[in-house]
Amino acid sequence: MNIIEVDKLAKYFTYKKGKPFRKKKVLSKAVDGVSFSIKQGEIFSLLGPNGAGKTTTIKMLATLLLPLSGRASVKGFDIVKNDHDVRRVLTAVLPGERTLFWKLNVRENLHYFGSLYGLKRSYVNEKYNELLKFFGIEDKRDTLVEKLSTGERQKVVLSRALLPDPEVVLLDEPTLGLDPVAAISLRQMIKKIAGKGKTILLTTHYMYEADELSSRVAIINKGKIVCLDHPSKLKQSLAAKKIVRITTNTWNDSINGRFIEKFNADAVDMHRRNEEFHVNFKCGRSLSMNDITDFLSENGVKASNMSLDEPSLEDVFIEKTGKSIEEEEVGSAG
Amino acid sequence: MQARYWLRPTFSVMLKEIRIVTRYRTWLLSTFIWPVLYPLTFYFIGLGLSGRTGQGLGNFERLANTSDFASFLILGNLVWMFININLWVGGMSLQRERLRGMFDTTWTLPVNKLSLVMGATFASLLLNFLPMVVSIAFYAALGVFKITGNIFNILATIFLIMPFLVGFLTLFAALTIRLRQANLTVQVVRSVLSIVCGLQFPLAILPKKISAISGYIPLTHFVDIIRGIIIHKHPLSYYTGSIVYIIVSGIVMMITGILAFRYFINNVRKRGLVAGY
Repeated sequence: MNIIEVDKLAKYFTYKKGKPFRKKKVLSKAVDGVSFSIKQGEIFSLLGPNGAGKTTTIKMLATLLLPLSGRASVKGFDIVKNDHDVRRVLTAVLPGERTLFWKLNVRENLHYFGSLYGLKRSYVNEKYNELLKFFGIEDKRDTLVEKLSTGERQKVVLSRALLPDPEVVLLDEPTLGLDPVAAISLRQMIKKIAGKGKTILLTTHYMYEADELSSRVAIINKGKIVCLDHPSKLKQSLAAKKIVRITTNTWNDSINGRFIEKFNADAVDMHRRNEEFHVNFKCGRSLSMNDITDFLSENGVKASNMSLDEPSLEDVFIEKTGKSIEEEEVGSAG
Repeated sequence: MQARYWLRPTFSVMLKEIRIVTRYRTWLLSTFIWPVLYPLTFYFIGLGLSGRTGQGLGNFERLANTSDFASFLILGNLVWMFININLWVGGMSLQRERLRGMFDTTWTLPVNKLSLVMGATFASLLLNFLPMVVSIAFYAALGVFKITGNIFNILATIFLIMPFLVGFLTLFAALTIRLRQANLTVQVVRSVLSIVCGLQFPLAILPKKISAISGYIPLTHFVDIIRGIIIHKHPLSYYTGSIVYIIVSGIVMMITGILAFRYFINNVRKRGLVAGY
């Protein structure tokens, strides 16, 4: 059963660009007719670079934004007509450190939000103890949020999100800005939450995060969904069986051509950074590390780094959009 | 909408605001210092203009209908301070949530959004009652201000102005979410009110065109009643016309505030202005 249905949802923004007094209105298609559905109990990821339309989509579902066209529903409630009902069945964890009141302690924060969820005080008393125990921070209940570590704060934010026992949890870039240890811990928490039968819609621009957590991933770019499936199926859909990545300071078109010919490869990407060439190839046939090292020594190439991988979601993104997420982000920033 | 989405949340918002404000230790200090110092400037200006023996009081008495310039100025300043603090605390409550980074998170909850403003406004009214009491007590102790009016009548007048004030703050809060800034609005509003309502000087000195507007503002009537009760010891019945005007304009302002709030919350959702600063 689908708990979230999104049909041709679109949101455009206009902003002014140009010199003072000569500014012109520019139309930006933040979300351009996306459609997807999410089953109950599923972890579904929207994966894409910054500015792809992930956050705009999640904000429309969280009723923070009105769509321009299309429709979406959460548990059958229309996000425009029944926005109050939508807010009752889902909770949203938005990015940023300050999604709690730092001058209140953990207990006061949870009581405050419990009240804003319309929950009874007795229920909140019982539930927050259970949640703090679940996240392993029961000893922090009387600590001011400003005194907590970033990881602990994230756990309180998740406790807040789970307080009304929602059926759907929206997580917008949950690990953004966290150190690697806190990010790993948070991903484990997300799995634990999913284990409670919650439906999770996650946005991220970290490929490995989407890969590790999601039952299905929608890759979104420039406001449109470019592909949607189980992460393994998306990777299997690629023609390439192996991805070769080489970093070296000696590379040229001639060596490139020989590599392509020998390994039946496609040069996916070749760019120069810090006086080094970074070359990626998709190979249509199986090959070993020895095959590559032999080729490099035959051609007098000294590699400072080299890898032979199974295709990743990054490769799926590159195949579908023609650019890497990093390049896409640099492009949109410019 | 069910009461659980607005009644207890209003109380919770109020409690939260009071907790946060009082957790800054400097709050207590500002509660005692500002209300004492601020009207003092005006008192000394009045003293300077009237002269130590009151030889310059004639003109003031003719314009303000009282020779008690200290009570006149201190009362006007207390009302100004009250409006000023409530504009910053209650009227800017949503903008403050935005700056704290809490606005969009709170928006995704099923709570009635008006509760966020109401709760903050009530907190502001409660918190700012203490500075008013401190100020009155200080000037009464100095002997420049005599608490001689009927306390019940003073409290009743304050109670009567509340619908207007709450409606006004709701309208103001709605404007801040659309404009995404509030400082300039607060500066303009408090200055205009201070001038047009004659909070710090007799209304009679204003040009006729401006003083004609004054009569339409409930706050002018409010400060006039408060001064009348305390300085002239008038009973409330003396101000029947003004009281009716305050009540009616209060109801109109409440309705306007709520309608404007509803309009602006849809407007910011459409324009994508809920988040951001």
